Amino acid sequence: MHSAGGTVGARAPLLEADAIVTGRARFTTDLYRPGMLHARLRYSDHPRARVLGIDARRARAMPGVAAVVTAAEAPPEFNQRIGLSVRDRRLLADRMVRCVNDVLAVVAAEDEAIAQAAVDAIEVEYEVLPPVLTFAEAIAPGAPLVHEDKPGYETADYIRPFFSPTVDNVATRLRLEVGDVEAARRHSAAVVAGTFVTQRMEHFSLEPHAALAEWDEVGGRLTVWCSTGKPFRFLNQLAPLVGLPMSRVRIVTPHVGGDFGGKGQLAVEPYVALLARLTRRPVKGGYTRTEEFIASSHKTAFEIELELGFAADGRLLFLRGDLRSDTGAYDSYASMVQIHGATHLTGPYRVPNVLITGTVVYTNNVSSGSFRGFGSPQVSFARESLLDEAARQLGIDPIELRLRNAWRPGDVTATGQVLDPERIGVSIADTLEAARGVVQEFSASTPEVGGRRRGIGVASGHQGIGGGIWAGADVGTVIVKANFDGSMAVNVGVGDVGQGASTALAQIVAGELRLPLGQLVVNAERDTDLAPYDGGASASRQLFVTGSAAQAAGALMRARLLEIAGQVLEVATEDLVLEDGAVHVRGSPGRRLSFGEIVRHALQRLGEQPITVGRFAGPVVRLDANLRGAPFQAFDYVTTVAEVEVDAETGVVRVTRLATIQDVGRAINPMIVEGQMEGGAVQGLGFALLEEVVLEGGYVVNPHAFDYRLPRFPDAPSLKNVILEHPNPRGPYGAKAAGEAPLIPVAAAIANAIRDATGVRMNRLPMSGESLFERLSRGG
Amino acid sequence: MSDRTDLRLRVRVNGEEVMREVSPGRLLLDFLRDDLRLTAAKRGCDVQVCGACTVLVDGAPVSSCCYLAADVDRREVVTCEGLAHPGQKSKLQEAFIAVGAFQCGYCTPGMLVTATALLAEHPRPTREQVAEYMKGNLCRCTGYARIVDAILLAGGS
Repeated sequence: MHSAGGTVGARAPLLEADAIVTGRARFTTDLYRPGMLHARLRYSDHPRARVLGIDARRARAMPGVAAVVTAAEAPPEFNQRIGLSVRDRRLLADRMVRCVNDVLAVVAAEDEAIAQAAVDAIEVEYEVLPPVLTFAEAIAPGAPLVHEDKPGYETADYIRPFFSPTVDNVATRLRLEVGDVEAARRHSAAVVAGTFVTQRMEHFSLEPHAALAEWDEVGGRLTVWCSTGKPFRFLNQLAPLVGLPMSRVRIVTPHVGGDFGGKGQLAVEPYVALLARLTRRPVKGGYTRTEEFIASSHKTAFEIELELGFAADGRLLFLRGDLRSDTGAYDSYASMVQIHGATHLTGPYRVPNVLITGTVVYTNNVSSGSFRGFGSPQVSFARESLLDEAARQLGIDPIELRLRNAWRPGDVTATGQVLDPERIGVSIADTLEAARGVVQEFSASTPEVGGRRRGIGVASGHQGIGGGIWAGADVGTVIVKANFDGSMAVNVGVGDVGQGASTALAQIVAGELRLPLGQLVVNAERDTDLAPYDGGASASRQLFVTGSAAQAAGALMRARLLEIAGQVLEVATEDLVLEDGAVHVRGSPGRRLSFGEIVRHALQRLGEQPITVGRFAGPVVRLDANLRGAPFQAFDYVTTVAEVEVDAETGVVRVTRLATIQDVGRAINPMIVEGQMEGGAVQGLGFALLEEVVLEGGYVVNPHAFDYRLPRFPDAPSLKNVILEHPNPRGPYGAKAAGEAPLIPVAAAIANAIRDATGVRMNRLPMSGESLFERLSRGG
Repeated sequence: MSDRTDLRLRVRVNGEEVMREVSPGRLLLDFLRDDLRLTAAKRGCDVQVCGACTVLVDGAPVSSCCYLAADVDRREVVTCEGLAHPGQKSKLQEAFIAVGAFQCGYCTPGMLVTATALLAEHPRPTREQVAEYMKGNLCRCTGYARIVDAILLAGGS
């Protein structure tokens, strides 16, 4: 492998660091345009109702109101049904409202206060209907239908095999069967079973959704600045809604203030785009924090019924699982989340007999869908909790039990993907071996004090890398352009949502060219007019896929510079080496050409600016109707060790230490990797103990920062990061991914630590002090 | 929206004298962002919980999303833009970069402002003091540990 010249593996600060700490980093909400209007949205007042009439006369007459648009005034292309998996939603509801985040009208006005006053002045007459609110209500015979026209809905091709086209409230069903679970049950020495429930969780990116649209009347083009890690997906989704070819829509993402899976589908963008076109003025809009809780989707809640069977020596013989989820009124990602969860339910373990079933239903709740981990944290909570119980029953150490079942090279996953060591790499066992030492370290210190009981828990997880599971292939492209002075401009379409993608890609290109980082610039904004297409920040794909393209682009530039230098110096390229922004003749000190000299020669003598295009194509075998396929480029592996203190009087849990042991293949920037591990660990703590979006009657009861308990400074435990680097055979410099995996096992590790401390098995998230107190006072 | 009851506001912002007409109900955050185009202070929660909008008023950290612009008349406001001279960075800003105390950066201006006040009050704080003082600033990306590290580093602890 080519050595990386010091930039790969460096703890380099983010390229955006100076802008961020001086307060000069521009997010979408920080942008202003001359003559700009402000947009507000009018939502439904009821979770299920027939709309009898919308009277916007008073709103339209208000001074300062530029436009009020309902479905009746919107152009036909804006009124088409939309949806990533199922086209089941209209941007402007007309005859029916199915949840309280249905939008009935949009307003553009001179300032936000006028816009809001106009929204409040819109009168809607409803015939209120009884809502469908739970999974059980949704599948009950004779249940009211959330979507009466569902059988005719269009679906994306990857969701079609799972879509329920019948007259009912079922969105999708799945089934994955390997071997013979019933026969395996008869041979099992121990069987453990349980039902586990995870909650709805809000992404709570500190930056709420925001967008600013500008319509260029003369050029016939629409520009939308917005907050997403997936600018090209937004381009694909938005252009048809405004009836324009993609060449006439331009998406620009300035700094993006967090994502966590919450900024992958259109939110306010289409509304401001429509208003900008109609008013011919720039229009800015965004969600308030309260709207974030209501209008943007939540982490899909899972009910997981799980059963595991073992031989006496601890070998897993079977897994049977049933997954149940409520997508709310519209299916953006919930079905995909359940499918992804199903592919990850066995964990990184060999299970010869598997039967997984799953159902996603429509209700009149607000939407649920994607969240960092995409179903894996939910299923890991159930599986890793049960493995802990099994270890107790079998009398085997919990790490040892996992090791006896851990994937080894050559094993086959439940979906049929072969863990070919030449392509994928398998290192879950390494994280478990490393966890032994951490458990010893935690056990050796901190005696129990007073009424506090101390416990330690372990859990593992894995995460498939790459978005090919839905698309069939995962493609990344990076362009490198050489400047006159030999510095380099790197052009990428990646989503940087704070995870450091730009910095890591720059380090990879710099590594190939042995150039100091300061000699590279990466396009700070993603502008779909200029940047190459990219699938964006999702599916743990960015570093693996686009990072590979960056390495290819850097390597091509290196080769071209060497070639040109060889011609000028009349030396074979094999005798040339790159160092410090120059090409040197091996063994002849002083005979060198700087990159600038090479580029100037190329421009002036060869008529060429050196520009290279690096590509990575990652085709996969997509999942079929039986959930069989080989959909991932690789896997991340992670084991978490949690230490807790439980107040035996009150049930209050304090996580004192969290250790994340993760194999990232290669840490391109260890500081970024540690940041991902720590952030994931504390988000996992929120999932485990604190956070829950509470629904009642189809309404969100706690849509405010003060009612939704995010982890704060005093909640953060002492964090330990153990980075393992088993190079992936295909990743850039062996790198895989970092961001999603560290969140995955945290809830189960904390649950297992609570079990260790108290003897109580918690099977419902969040594990609040109140719920544990109740269990403790019932005596476990 | 301007109306007849506008107040004449005189305030020092990041060391510069500013005179503006504002309506009595105008929030300090909107005044700073929309009128002065000082956009470092961010809107995060609207209810004084997340700390992204924190600025200093006469040296004390306040949530500008719940503070009236009228109440800074004849007082001194410092935003993240004013924590160091243009082209320079404070010790605290340098420390945030050195330890990687931010990811998306949306909460960072508010964090830096609160932490500046903390270090003014407690020049050599303990880890516990930092956690307690900073608990009104939320971060969703980092898990907090590195922010504490950066503040301790800048404080020389």
